[in-house]
Amino acid sequence: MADEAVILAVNDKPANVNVLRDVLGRSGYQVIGASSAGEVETALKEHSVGVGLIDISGFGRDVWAICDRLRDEEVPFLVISARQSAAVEHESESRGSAATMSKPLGIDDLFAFVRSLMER
Amino acid sequence: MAQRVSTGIAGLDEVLAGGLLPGRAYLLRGGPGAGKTTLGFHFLTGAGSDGEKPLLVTLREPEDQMRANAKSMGLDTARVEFLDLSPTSEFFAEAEAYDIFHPADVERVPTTERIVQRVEEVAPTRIFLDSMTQFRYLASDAHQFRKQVLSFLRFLLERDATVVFTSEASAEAPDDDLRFLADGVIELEWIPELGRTIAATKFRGSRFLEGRHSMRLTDTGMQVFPALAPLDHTVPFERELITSGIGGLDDILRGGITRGTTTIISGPSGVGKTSVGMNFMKEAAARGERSVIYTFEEEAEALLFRSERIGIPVREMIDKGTLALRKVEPLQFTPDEFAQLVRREVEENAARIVMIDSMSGYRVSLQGRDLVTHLHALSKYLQNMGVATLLIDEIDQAVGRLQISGASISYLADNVIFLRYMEARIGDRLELRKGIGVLKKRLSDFDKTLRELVISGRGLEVGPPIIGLTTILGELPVWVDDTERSNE
Repeated sequence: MADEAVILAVNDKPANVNVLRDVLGRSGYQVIGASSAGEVETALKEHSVGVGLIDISGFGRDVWAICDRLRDEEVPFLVISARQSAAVEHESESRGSAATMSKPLGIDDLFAFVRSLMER
Repeated sequence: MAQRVSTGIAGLDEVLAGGLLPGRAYLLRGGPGAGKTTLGFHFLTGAGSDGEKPLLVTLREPEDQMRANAKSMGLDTARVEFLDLSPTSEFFAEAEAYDIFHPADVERVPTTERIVQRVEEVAPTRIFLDSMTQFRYLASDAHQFRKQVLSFLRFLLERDATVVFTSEASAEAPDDDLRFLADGVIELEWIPELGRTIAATKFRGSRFLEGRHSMRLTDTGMQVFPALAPLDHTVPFERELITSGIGGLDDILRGGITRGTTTIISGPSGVGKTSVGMNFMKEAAARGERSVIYTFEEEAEALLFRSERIGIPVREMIDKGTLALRKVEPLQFTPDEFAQLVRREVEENAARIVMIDSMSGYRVSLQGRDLVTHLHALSKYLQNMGVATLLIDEIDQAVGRLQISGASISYLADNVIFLRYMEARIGDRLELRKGIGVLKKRLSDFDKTLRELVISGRGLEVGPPIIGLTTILGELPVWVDDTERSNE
């Protein structure tokens, strides 16, 4: 189990992490939650992270540092924001995100994204 | 001809010409408290459901509450399987909601899976789903919703189930789409002056009784009183004459009144209309036939007392089952309910004479409007069933020009017997007497003379034609008699 890739969900709402776990878990993916840079470090250390889902709403500008960290570790990630914003898209792209999506996410869209990245 | 699926409510099965068609999906609409769930319980537990597997899918009320409600109405849900998809208290207690997905998207798949699994487990033949409107919240848009409902219904029907599903229509969630998708639509509606009603507004593949029918919700569930459709009911009968037993009256009627006709007995207050009617019933009782009186104004006891005093053995007739006397309280029944009472008397108890005393009482006592139409339907039904109908019509004026009927319903009548007060000048005395005559008689000839009617302890007596009348139809008839008329 430890060498199977997991999905890292960076989110300040535990409810969001839970529902991601339920929904993605149906297809056999394991989801690890993190709500701080420290927890992200722990996760990177203890698991093989296949994809990051970074929900930037609820965090300050320090969340971009988490994105930099994932880029350094060559973990592909998706930036999730509360609403669509050109500024956020720009910032997120420049940090090396694979995509930017606004909430609520389409479940099928998320699945398609996760599947394509996990298969690499 | 397909075997019908009973709704569990006799009156509703009648509206639906026998019941629902199997393997179809029906929409049940109505506001809160209209009785949708009650109907669902009847459908799942009603007669004819032995050997069937009923399943109740609830998205609103929890299972134990529903079972308790059914039990309180005397409906046994022991054999009913439940699928409880109602929101649990955990949902409310959860401190935070998620926002990363739309709840509809998240809940739809597990909900659908649970339904599929349960349906495959139970293999139900009858399904009640309450309510389909809740599925709307699991769909991302109207198009999705329609597709989902259609495929869901198809899934259920492919398993040979008959489905009744409810909708909670509202301004922001109208259910036109569900009405299109369903094979039939049953509506529960409260109408001012009529109260609760039920109507089938769509029923593919079958005829049905159109219009609204009275419905009641009681502590034993739902009862439906289908509006009378007279053409649906006929029996063959002998068109014979029935007599009043009053010699003079049978003379002017040339034998009596014919079965299957409607007779209006008209006249001012106290002149003896009901007494005349009861004599037909006395004769019928002697033949072993049953008569029923519906009295709207007079108390039953008073009527019984009066009748005994004029020689009609009412108590004996009641004991023998040849007479039933029913007092109808004001606003007790809707016209449909009243019609169903009469039907039961005719169809189950073989009543052959029915009296309505009086027509103005009928009009005032029954709820709703348009009572003339109802009375017309009731009369037609009774005619088709070979029942002789006696309609007592009270004229307001004690004196004055003869009116046939206060209610403009004279077209209903095949026969009209009229009673009126008269002045008799006997020598130099002036007395108030009663006259009786026939104004109209279909199907045979009649005597056009006015006769005197005497009511005493010996009963009713009708004399020979009165001579010396100055008028019959005009202002108070007067006759002048030079010979002394003996008082009998």
